[in-house]
Amino acid sequence: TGPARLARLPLARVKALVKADPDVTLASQEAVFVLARATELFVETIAKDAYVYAQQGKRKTLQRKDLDNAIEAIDEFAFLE
Amino acid sequence: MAERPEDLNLPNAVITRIIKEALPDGVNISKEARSAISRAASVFVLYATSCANNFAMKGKRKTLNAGDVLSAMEEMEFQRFLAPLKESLEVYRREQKGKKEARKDKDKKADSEEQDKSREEDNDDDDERMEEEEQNDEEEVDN
Repeated sequence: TGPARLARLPLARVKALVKADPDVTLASQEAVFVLARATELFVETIAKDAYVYAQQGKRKTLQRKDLDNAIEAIDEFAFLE
Repeated sequence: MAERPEDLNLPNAVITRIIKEALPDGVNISKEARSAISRAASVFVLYATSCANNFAMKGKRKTLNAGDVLSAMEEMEFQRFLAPLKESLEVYRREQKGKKEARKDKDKKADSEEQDKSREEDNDDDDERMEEEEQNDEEEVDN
């Protein structure tokens, strides 16, 4: 996905997640948009990072354990543990 | 609303498409892996929201804005997202502005011919009133 791409994730679904936070009062439309885009970038990133492990295992199918390995190994994914 | 945050997931088809485009051709994703990524994405939104909200509160604002989300990315150590996010935001703002002007032109045409012809472009900062195709901006969260 190019940098200037508009969101593919439906903003309504992202907004529903934002609203799930009891501490959030209001969120601007722009905020929801940036969150949606950030989430897409996150998905790309974690998929690529996990794929490294599949490659090490000489596999062409990304598996759950590849995800687990990536999450354990990479600091930025610590919040997922 | 009895939904737990963990139940709020993102559309599988979109998640799958994003994953596939990020990986080389010919690579597959197991259902479990796709599912795990989807859940991780939901957690990402929740965590980023919480982080962004801290910035809003620090700024004594009740409305989470784009800047708060960008600050959250930095805080979460996703600095590499900042440049593409800023670019996307610029495109988004231009599009919203275009929509707003299209609506205003429509309104102008609907007005009587007697109207002022030499009206300058509006400089209102009423971006809070922008409407998405799907829903209104800034709905109150009733918690």
